[in-house]
Amino acid sequence: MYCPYCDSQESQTREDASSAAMNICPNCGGSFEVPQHTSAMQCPYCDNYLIFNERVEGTYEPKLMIPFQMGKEVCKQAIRDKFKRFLFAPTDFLSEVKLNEMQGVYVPFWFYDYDLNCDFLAEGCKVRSWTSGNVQYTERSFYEIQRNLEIDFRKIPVDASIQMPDDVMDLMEPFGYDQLERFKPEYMSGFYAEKYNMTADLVESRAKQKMHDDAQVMLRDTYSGYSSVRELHNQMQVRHSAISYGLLPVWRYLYNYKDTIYPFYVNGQTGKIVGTAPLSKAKVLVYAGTLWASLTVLLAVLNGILQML
Amino acid sequence: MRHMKRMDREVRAQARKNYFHYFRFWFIAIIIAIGVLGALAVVKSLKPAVSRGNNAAPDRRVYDYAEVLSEQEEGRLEDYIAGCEAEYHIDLVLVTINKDMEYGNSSWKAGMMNYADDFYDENNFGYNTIHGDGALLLDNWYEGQAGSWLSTCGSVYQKFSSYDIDRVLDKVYDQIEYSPYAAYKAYIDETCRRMNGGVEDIYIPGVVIFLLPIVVAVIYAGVHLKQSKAADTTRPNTYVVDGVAKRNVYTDRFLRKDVTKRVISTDSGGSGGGGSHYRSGGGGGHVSHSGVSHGGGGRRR
Repeated sequence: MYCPYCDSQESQTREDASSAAMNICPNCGGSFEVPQHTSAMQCPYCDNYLIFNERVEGTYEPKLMIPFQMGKEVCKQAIRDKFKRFLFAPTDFLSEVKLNEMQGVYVPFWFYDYDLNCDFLAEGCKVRSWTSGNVQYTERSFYEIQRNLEIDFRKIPVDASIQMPDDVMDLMEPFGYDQLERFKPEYMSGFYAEKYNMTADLVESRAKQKMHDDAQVMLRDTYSGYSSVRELHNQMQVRHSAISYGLLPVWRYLYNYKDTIYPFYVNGQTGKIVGTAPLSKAKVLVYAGTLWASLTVLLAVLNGILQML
Repeated sequence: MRHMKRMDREVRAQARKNYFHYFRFWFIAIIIAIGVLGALAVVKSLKPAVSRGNNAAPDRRVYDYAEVLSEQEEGRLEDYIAGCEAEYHIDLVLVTINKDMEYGNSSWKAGMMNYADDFYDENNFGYNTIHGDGALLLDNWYEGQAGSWLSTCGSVYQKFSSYDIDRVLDKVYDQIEYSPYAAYKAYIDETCRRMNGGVEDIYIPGVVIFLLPIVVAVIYAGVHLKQSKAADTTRPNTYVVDGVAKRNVYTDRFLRKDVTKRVISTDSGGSGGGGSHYRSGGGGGHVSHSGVSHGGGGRRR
């Protein structure tokens, strides 16, 4: 069956892959190298998609996933729409041939739940000023600000892939969790996938940092009416936490320009694009130079016309 | 390899197409502007030139008897005057002297006026006819009597009020102490400008033609180079259950208050007075020794 999203034939072929780097395609018998953390990929000989059981079972079995909601054609169009105004990109950057190299990838993510208690005490000052006659009055009123908030964070995502850049994966957010489902291996057919290759302990500091930053902003919003605030006590305590493992959909477009790889990532659920287009210096010079020359000629000719009148 | 070359050709062809499409309006504007300029040049060349009607006047226009100009400056002024005369159809004469104009019972004003008028008349100046359209600036450098007189005749006399004469003299006096050459050039420019109805020749300064496109091109490149990976679209409560925090304690207890006061100083500023508009006399019409009607005016420096 042909899949219009990923341009592939669905196979659902599940291979009892060993940890060995080499694998043999059960469809065509071709032998090829399997990257260390890959759990699903395309056979380079017959284009059949393979899922490696050993890497989606047991401790590597994801509990949750969001299936791809955006097809390849939609993503290609989204990239075209975003970068069509960027004049100085190489001409073939948005070509059909290049964009066809885009791959759908299920990226491993850890999801962190935290039940947080924020206890906060501060002295706030409100300033009021008015004028009577030629005298200006300034009144300062001081208040004791006391807050105790319960903030329950659910599924703060942190990517568990060494290969994926952290800043880019953060910018991919947010994913819509209303489409979160239990993991089904058949969704992986037609896409690349990785098992987690960074443990939950290793990346938890990023989740805690996100939690802390968000909680601080929410707390600050509760006393935003003060001119100045002097903190006396600010304690954040996690009362309960939980971790789950899942896969999130990302389209990846790697554009090679002058021996440099420019990566672009598209959220496979929302279509959000992360990446900066490469710069063609020749185009910058030609376009800016043409504008300069055109304007100079136009002004000079206009000057000639004015003097003729 | 052949496939790669074909792709490369296609990419280049696409790049050219994009380029011409992008700049099409600029190129069309340039072609139209050049067309208009060419048409104006043709129209101007076909227009019959107003020929000079008086051949009795000498070719010379600059008489630097006070020797305040160098030979090169005199030459440049002669050339400049020739161009202006052809465009505005008036004679423009400059005479510098170093003479006592208050000998006998003569006043400075009468002495200057008679000298200027007689010089114009005796040399048969006038663009259209003898004693016709033109102006003469007489500039005296005699110690204690330094000053200028502008004698007008024909169409210049008709057009110039005392006010116009004074403004021409102002332009001269603005620069005479620093550069006589610049001052005399200003006399020619201002006289021509006022003959043109007070309208300045409209033109785009060279510095604008040179600098503006550079600035625009740099800004254009900067704007188009600017790009960011993506915006952070998460909010602080994106991962919070129901998007809100539960408030266990939420109190703002008043502690104390203080009030400070400051006297506002009011400095009363005086308003500046407007300047009065000064118009010198002496410019009106009169008849010279040779019976020609002249206008004119002048004052000491």
